[in-house]
Amino acid sequence: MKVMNKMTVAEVVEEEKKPPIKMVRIYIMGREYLVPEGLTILKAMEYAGYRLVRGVGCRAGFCGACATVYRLKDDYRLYTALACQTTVQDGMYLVQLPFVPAKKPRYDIEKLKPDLSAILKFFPEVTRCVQCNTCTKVCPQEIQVMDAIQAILRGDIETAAHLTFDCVACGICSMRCPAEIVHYHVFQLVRRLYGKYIAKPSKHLRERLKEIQEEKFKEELDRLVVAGPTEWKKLYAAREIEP
Amino acid sequence: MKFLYFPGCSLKNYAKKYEDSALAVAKHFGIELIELKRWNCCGVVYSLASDSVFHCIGAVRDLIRAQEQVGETGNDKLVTLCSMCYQVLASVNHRLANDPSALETLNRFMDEEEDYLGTIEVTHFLTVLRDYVGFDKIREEVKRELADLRVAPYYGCMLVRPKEVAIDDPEEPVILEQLIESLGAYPIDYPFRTECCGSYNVVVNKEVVKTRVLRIISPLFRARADIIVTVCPLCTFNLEYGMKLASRQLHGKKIPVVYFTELLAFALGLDNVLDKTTLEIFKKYM
Repeated sequence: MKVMNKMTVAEVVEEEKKPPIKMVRIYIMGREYLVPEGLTILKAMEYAGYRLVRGVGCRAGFCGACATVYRLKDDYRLYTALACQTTVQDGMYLVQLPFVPAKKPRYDIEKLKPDLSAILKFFPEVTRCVQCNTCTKVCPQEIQVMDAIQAILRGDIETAAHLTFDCVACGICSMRCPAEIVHYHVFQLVRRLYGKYIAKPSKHLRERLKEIQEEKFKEELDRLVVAGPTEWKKLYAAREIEP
Repeated sequence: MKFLYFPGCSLKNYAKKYEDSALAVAKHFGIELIELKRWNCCGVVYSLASDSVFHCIGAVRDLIRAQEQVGETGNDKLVTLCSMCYQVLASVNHRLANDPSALETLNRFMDEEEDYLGTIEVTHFLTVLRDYVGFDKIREEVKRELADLRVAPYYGCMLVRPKEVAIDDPEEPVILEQLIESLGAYPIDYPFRTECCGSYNVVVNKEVVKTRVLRIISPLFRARADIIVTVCPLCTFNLEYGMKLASRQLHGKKIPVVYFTELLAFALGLDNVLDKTTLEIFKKYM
């Protein structure tokens, strides 16, 4: 929507020289909207007037909060995506998933062993996997989800941890699984077990912890605390940034 | 000679010694078992439902993985060790060979994979030993004197039933006996070597397993069996567990259970792949 009265005549003339914005037709929960081409699904929904409270997060593809499912015109498939990472297409049928309900067990990592027994104790349903591979097909992170569950079933925690490193816990796999497995919680336990019991301890972390315990950075920190906003801003602008 | 190899979940977990001993024996005879790069559970139990193909998916996916790798061996064979895996993979393969519409449905469903063409042949390591090594060759390689060793071969159900996928005669199998003889040991003939061990009833009804195991092993005490030789991780578990459950009826007597590959490894002198418990069982014959 152009707000005409805030533009000068010259600006309007200039504006009208530009090629018109191409609009695409989308359907949000069954209702038709015209939205500009190139918007992400999230922005298209907001353009159409929705105010998203749940089903939206970092808007950068990292947090996994904006799981979405959609269909396209004349296509039987149910597609899945992160709504902040996918642009709208003409004829898209959309809905935003606000949340994926899932059991999140509490456990004491100190009391678990890094093998199948730990997984089966909290997630016995992993044995219901029928290898349909739907989880892998729908994963927006392109994780080999089914292979990870299968690795777990043979007690291979390490492989499962590596396979699921990119999981953002969007939960789409768990919404589609016919065995009702809650993959992302299982994988979180797997990676915790891997980190605690299997991965080699990091030499650098150990050294840094020692330095902190020896109060190597205390003086520098104390200086910062009393430096004040002007000094902080100067230091922030001059900070080292990795390329 | 090279073969593609499907281990199955148990062999990577509770039955690691089955895999370790089998791979060592294979290597000894110049056979390279190439583990599939990706594989999943076979499905555990072959589903007899004729109007559904859903429970075939796991097995077909494994057959597709094998199909992707056949170039590495120059043959279509996929070798298994666990007899449940063998039975499921072979039965699914057999069903699809005779039911093109089921194969088409599965191929359409698994559209992220290449189509399964039905050309993989599922086989068991015992068959490989018989057909590609030969019992005569095995006899020549035996390093130990086992004439006093009385071995009860236990087939269970999965390798010899149903007849469409049986690796030997379902009623009167001889392959284990022939192997035991070729090692110079004495194979005991007894009536219940192809009876079911109780299988997954061990999870829901232990009594079934106890009764089955008592029945299977009861003739073996009088027959003075030194060991029972098995082909299946679940049979092995149930035989050992069943003897424990029935220890009162058995007056605490037990017969040690080993995989046929462990007996082979011991006969060939490959002691370094055998674990402590197994070596303890064989101690007398060293």
